[in-house]
Amino acid sequence: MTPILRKAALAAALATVALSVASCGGDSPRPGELHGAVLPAPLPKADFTLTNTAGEPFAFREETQGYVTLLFFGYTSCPDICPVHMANIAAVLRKLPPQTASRVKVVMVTVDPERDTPERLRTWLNAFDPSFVGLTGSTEEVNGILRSLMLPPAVKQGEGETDYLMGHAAQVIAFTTDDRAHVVYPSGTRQVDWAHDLPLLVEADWRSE
Amino acid sequence: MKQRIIGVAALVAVLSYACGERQPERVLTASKGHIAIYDAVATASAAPDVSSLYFTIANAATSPDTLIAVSTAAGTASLHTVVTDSSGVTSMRPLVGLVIPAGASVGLAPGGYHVMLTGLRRPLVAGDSIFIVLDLARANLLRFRVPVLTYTEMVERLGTLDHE
Ligand SMILES: [Cu+2]
Repeated sequence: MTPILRKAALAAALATVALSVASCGGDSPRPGELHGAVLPAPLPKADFTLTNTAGEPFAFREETQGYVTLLFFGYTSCPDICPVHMANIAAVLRKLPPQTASRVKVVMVTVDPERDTPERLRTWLNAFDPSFVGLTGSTEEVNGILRSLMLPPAVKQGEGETDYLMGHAAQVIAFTTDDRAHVVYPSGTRQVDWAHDLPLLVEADWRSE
Repeated sequence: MKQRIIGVAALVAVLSYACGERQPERVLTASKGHIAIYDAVATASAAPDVSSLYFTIANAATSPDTLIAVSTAAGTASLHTVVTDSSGVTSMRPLVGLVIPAGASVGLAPGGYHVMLTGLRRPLVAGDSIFIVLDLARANLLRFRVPVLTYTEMVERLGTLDHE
């Protein structure tokens, strides 16, 4: 290769790199680019209304429109999986640029309405981030929502009236601005995973799919 | 002989440290005979009556030991593991004896083995500390102080157990 040709080839290569970098923003992330578990088929955004911690109705689909919405089903008497998810997400949102973090909403639906009063749920969420939305509804309502998202119903474990555990789906579902969920985040998702994926989910344009 | 075992244990510790993703240096919390406790952490209560405890137990002996029970005056302590069934339901199960193999260490970490604290007399507050007692089959009772960190500080200190 002559020096001129080599220079031209280098310029072409650089231009290709520049182009592909420029085209990153706005595209839908490629499979394998996300740290979360990409669903085989996207889930439509759940459409339900439950009660928030102020005692007001919260229409999930409308209230979260235009946001990346992280939906989680858990309970406040959970010592490990639930608080660890919440703590990780809250810590990462605090570290992300405000223009990214402000486009993410976190919604936690309790699977333990017997013990999780709106007040208890509010206190618990405030330990992580006061902006996190807490929702309560009847067991039937919540199990219906879980079913619509192809998740198993929550299971009460133990006979005690107030002293029991709940088994529940442990993944966080990430709905994007196209009103679908393409990816979920299982228990064990680390802060580096959230920090990597949340900006991509905020910038993604899934309509191109 | 004893020295050689300690040497091997130290080498294993160094090797696992080197292979770890971003393993911070282990901090010794307490020790008794062949048992050493590292990185003991209690979490600040998010719900007023519930919390969790994590630590790593290292067994330098040539035979296994078993953690039988954990107790604390702060509330009721239960040793748990986390399991996910085929339908996708994740739940905690009581752990009946946690075996610490000879010359090895077993870690309690978020998403895996943990001690669940319930019925707390008062909420655990970050910056405080609580006393806990471990009951081991061979080492018997080990009593030590555990610092209380927020869940965020705890996860940053211990990392999260990777389920992949
Ligand atoms: Cu537990």
